[in-house]
Amino acid sequence: MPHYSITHTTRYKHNSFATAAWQALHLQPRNETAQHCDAFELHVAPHPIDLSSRFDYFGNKQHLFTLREPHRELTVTSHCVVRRDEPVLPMAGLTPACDEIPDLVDEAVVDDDFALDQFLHASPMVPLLPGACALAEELGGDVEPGTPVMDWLTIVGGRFSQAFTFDREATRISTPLAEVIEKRRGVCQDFAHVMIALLRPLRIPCRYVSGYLFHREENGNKDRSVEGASHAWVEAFVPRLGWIAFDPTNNLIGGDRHIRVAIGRDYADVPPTRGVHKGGAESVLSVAVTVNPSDAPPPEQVAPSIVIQSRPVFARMNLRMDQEQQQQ
Amino acid sequence: MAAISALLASHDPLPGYAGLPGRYDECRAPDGSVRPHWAAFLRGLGPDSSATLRSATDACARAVLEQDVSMNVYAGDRSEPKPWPLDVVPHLVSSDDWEVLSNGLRQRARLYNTLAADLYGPQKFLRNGALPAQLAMANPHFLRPCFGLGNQPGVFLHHYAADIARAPDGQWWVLQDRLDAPSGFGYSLQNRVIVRTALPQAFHGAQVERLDRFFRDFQSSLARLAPSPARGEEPRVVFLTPGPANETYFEHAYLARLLGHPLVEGADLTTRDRQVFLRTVGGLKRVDTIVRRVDSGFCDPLELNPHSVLGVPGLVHAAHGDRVALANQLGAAALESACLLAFAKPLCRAVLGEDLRLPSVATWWCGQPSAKEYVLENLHALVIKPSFRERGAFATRYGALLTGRERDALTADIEAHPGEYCGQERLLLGTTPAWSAGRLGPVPFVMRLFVAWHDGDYRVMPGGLTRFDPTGADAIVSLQRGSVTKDTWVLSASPTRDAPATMLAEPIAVYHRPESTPSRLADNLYWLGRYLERTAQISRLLDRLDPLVRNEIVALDAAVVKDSLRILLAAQQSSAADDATTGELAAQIRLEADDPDHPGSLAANLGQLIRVLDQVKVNLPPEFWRILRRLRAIAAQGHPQLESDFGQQLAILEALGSETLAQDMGWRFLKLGRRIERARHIVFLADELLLPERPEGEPAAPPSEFRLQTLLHFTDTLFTYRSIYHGVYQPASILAWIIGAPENPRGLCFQAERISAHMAALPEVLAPRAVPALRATAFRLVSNIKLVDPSALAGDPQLAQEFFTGAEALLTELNNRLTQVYFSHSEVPEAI
Repeated sequence: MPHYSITHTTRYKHNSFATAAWQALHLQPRNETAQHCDAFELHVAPHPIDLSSRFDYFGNKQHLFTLREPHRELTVTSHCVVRRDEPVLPMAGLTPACDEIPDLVDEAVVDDDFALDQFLHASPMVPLLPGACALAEELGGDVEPGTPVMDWLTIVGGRFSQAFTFDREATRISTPLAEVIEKRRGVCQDFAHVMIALLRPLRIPCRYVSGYLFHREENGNKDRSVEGASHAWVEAFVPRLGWIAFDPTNNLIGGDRHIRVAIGRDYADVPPTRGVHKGGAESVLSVAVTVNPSDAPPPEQVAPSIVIQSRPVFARMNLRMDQEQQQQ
Repeated sequence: MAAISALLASHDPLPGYAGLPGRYDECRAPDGSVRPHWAAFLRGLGPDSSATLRSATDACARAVLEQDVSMNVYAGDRSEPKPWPLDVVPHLVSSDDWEVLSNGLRQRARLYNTLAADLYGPQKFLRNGALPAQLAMANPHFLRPCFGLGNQPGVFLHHYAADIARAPDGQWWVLQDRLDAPSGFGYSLQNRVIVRTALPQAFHGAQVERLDRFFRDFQSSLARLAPSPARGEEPRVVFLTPGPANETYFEHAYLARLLGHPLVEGADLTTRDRQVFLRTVGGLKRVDTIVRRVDSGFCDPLELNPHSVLGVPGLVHAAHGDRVALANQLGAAALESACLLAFAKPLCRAVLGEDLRLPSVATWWCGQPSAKEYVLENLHALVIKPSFRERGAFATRYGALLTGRERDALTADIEAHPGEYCGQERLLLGTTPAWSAGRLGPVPFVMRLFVAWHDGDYRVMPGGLTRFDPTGADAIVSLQRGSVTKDTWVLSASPTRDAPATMLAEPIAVYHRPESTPSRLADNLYWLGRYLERTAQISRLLDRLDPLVRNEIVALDAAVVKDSLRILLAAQQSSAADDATTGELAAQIRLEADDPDHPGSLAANLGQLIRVLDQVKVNLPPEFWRILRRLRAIAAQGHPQLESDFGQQLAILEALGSETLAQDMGWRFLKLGRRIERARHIVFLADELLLPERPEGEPAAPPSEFRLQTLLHFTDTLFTYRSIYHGVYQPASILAWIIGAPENPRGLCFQAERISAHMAALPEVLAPRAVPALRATAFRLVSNIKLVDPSALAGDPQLAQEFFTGAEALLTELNNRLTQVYFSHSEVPEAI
């Protein structure tokens, strides 16, 4: 059962003073059966006048704060210690066949969990695209309809990682999905969205996972995603079995190196930081993430703490949206 | 006797009027008789009903113009105000019909309130399948950040509206429900006010249910929504509007004024600690209830649509707290989906355990296989709508109007994404009489009725907004597409009368909050003062143009004339070549004054004045509106200075500012704007006239007598100077009068003292350091003016230069600090 110590720093630098800012964060790892968040600390500088949290629709812990102090720089740092169990992988042969999936999923929506349905439709950043259907045909069209769905996923996932090139320069947060599919380049966030767009039309519920990856060389294979950034992958719902995590960037079935922070329909539901500010004109965003093995958890400190730092000034009144961080 | 009654019976009160084939007509029954309530109304019009209606129509049109009733029509990116379309003939609803409608609507309101609270709370009806999963889960208007708001105490839907039509069999059908931010009940009241005045006898002859009770209840129920008002204070209710460009802004302003709530935009509000505050010049004031006219999705750029500039960051998080109520709660748009109408009947059973009283128009949601088949088979006869409101480019389509190719494409689309579509029966709308081309004719109509929560139950407004398409089409009745409205008279079985204007029994703790002027309003009033003064100043300067060019001064000292003309240019932020002749200068001045694109010109300042007036209009009495209309017309003519009443209109505006407004904080900002602008103008004129630019090295000379006289002219103080000084011109006394005399209302000292007095009355809470500094600056200006010796000012150009530059700098500082403290809400650094 590996332990990780994770630090995630996000810094906004403005070219003039911002007079106020509001931020909503998805930074606290989920606490669940296979993952325990033993400690979580949040540092915000300058000093916010309020900081509170609530669980969002998907059960993720969301922190929100308000900054009323004029500032040129805003830093949000989270530290956490997480224990991660190795998920038990199903035997592929025991999973339902691809052609059984639609009926089984419809049953599951009606009988078990209506909320599965939201992972079957277009979502804010994942439209239903003809290009995605064509891609599904290209990558998996030759696979027998009776193939167990886990095998199908392995085959299509492997071909996907061949077909798509990891390229940090190719896309930004705002790049439309159709362009990613056309260019076949992008970062983990794009790949997760493409994967979602592939699976949903096949009636496989598929959701987005925002989190961290502990990078490591395994059997001579290096991870393509970059250290120093947050990570993203997907989870597909397999009837009778449950959610299976798949990391399309690194062609991995999700395991004990994947630390789950938040789940949603796509990135738009769970950006690590999202904010608006007044004044401050343009802002530059920088992100740093470190994921280290940790032998023992540090002393318990779950309540967020705040670092104080202040300086009063004046500035303009217009409201801007802060940039969002790309998950790589 | 018998002959007379036979004659009466055979007399048709509405000869020539016939309903449309296949439709229900409100006025003429199938047997050819006029329905009794219509017959009574027609009798009430008097012996010559056409004449009555003709003159009432004129009165109605005049009232719409006079009361400036308008709606904005979107044209591309812009929105244009247009007069409110109103037909004077009311739509009559009999008391029997009303019984059916009002019971049905109350039930629907309860149904949707429970459903919405469940959708954003326990989700029981999704869990048990009463609400198909896809209707919520694939619905772009289901706002996940609002999940949990359904568990809040209090009603989810405070008010609700439904569009209702009459089927050929006389049955009432709901065409659509409006749950998120329903509009129209303010317009309904405005229609009533106009129509009952235009048709007084008919109104008083009929027993028409009054609307005032509904609005009083509406008002008191909003105050009671406040979850936890501050001890000893009345709950603060605000009316949140998207702003003046919104389609129904008129109504927002009208309702806010009627209900006595501040009309605010997103930028007026702010959040902290999960509470909502109104930004006022007296600091942040906690808001208890928000009447919301901004669509849910646009209410919070932090958690909802990030591109919205209409919202308040943190509003969703605040709504999850326990200090603010929203009417309506955020998120109800999810249930406005057309596809939901297909489930209204079973949902009513499942949710309320009752049979649905007022049915929805027959709807088939293609997400169900059998319904999809039905829709595809009957495509030609149905109306096809997107399941969820206004998604993508897809609009409502009429199967009957599709070409073969369009029908094939639509069929393929429905097959591919069945859940995205629903089919609706095409209803032949019932008709009601409307006045058109000098006679009454039948028009298909839709009626919007309103329901609001009061005292533990829903109440239906006994009236409504009836709309029809004047071309007689019944495809889509939309005011954006030229529909016309009608007042709706609900007839009572018993006599009705106006409730007396009631005095509230309970005393209101804090009524007058002069310090709580919203900051944005104060900002706008300040600039109204500045632009009004600046426009008037430039206009008065331009009045001097002709005398200057023709005047004998030219003969006496041509340099003064040229300098004066250059001042007219400089006052409009312009300049000319050194060698320009008097004629060239005058031509340039005239040209630039009319150019709205030339910053600083008369036309540009007038444009700004109109813009600011538009912004604050709703806070000003109707007298201002008339001036605003005239100023718009003057601006549209293109040559403001040539309009003979231009100066007069500006003068009236000035006088109204002094005489009609409550002398609260907002008024002080208006006055501060005017005084600061006037002071700047005096300093500018004195500086330019007394200290003309001169070639390098040439020593400054004391100003000539001509220059001093021109200064008297330009500052409009010649008349008062003459009477005070008995026509004796002397440099020191001229400057004493213009600069130092506290009795001269157009002098600098007077302005400075007023500025200082207003500053002393401004609240301090916003910036305990900066406000005293602001007052000190104003005081420094007053003392500088009082201390300067006028004869030294007249004789020593160096001293004059220092004095004017110093005064100008102090005025600029006042403006900047005022803006920072009261409008931007930021404390200034300790040292500048």
